[in-house]
Amino acid sequence: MIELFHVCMRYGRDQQALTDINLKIDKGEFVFITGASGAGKTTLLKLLFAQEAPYTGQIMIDGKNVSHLKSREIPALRRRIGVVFQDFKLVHHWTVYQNVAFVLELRGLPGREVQRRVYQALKMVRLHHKLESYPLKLSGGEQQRVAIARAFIAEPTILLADEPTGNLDADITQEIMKLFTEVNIRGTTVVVATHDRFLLESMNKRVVILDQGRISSDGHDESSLIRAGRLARHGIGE
Amino acid sequence: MLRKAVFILRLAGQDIRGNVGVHLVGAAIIAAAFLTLGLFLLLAANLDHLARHWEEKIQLAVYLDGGLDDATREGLRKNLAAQPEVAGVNYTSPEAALAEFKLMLGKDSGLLEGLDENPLPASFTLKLTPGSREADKVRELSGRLGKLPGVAEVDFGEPLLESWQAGLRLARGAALLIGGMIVLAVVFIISNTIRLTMYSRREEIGIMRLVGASNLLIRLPFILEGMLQGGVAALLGCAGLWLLYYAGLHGLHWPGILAGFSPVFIARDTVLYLFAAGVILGAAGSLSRLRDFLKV
Repeated sequence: MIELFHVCMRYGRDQQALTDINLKIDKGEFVFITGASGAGKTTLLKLLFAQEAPYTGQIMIDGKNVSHLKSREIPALRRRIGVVFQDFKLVHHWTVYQNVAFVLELRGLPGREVQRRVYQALKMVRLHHKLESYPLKLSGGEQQRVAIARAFIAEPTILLADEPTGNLDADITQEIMKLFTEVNIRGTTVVVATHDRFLLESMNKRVVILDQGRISSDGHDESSLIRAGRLARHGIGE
Repeated sequence: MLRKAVFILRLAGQDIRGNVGVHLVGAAIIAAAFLTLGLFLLLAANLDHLARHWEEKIQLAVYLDGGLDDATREGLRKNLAAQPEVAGVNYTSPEAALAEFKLMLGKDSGLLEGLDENPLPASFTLKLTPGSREADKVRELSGRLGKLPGVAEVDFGEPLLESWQAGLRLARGAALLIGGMIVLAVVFIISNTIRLTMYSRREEIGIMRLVGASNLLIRLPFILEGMLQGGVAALLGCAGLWLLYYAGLHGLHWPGILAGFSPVFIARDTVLYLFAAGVILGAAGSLSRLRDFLKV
């Protein structure tokens, strides 16, 4: 379970990124975070895997306060969370295989198990034929799929994704969302930051809308019609 | 444990292969720094070698009273040879001394023709052990030997020896100072080169940390790479130094005051110390820079 209590985040003295965020995401939930550019979506995700620490407020993940972790405590948290970064964050001189396998090797899995799971994960994102390619030889969409495979391969309890379909065409987007749904069905909590209105409308999931660093709207169990109206009112995806 | 060790070694290998250019440039700069340090050490080693070569020539002349019988003279020789500072004793008769003097005078040796009797005394020439060639020790020995019965005078060229050793002390002090400055410059160049190498890898380090790698796991491959880079560069610097020595100095013989002196290469221990310095600086440079990139 993820809980945020009165979380504020600022960069420097003046730039307020998030203001008084109170949010509860249950275990196994699938949540979209949306909002205009600069609304604070990426910052919110960064707080959840401790890339940033909140200025004030508390963040609890599975009952543990992760607001101000010591440097040596952060890796253990990150190994429980899979992250799809907006800029992919792939090591350019590692092959696709090496980039994806790294997170399993970190966990000390035997070589054969690593090989089997990497192949399966890359097959799921339709990149199993590019095992030995280097990221810079791939298109933006392909790099994003490698990043997605790396994020879910270790079966994390939480999967965070920052604009995971930004560089993908409609077909692949559907498949990636299907993949996220499958991962979610298996018990992983999924939090996706996106401003893709089609995605938000087509998936029947909870949508939290951020506006200038504040939660302006949070819809539980709403109908698709109500959700569409709410998105339109906040100007999402226009 | 073994699996983790293999993983770390593989990561290090993977990174070396992926950053060959950066590593080669870094290693070349570090090797050049070690070569500079090596050139200084080579110069210092040869100055030291030359000083020892010249010090071997420091001798003590013990002039004897006139009219000593053979038994007394032999007793004195044994006494001189028994002194711990003395490495060898050589007897020169008055006749031999005169012949040597004539030889020195060359075409002016006719000046000696008018002498009724040989004015030169018999003498013992003493070679000294390596630890006994300092001016103070020679002076103390000279004073002691001068009191022995049958000894008229002891001469060791005191002013010359003192100015030679004062010059040597000055040269060694200057070498230490310049050497210290070169070592500091080399450490600075090496640590900065490694910092630059690490800087080019900051993104990769950040990614490893973001996907859950512990600081230790990130550090170990980089430390291994730094050690390898530093060690290999130190050996390359030494190899370059040896090539320069072999091409320019090895087997060279000089005339004049350098006669009999042949240059030497730096000691094997020094090469090992340079290698160890490369390995340690490589590891330390990687560690110090890594700390800055592990803050994500």
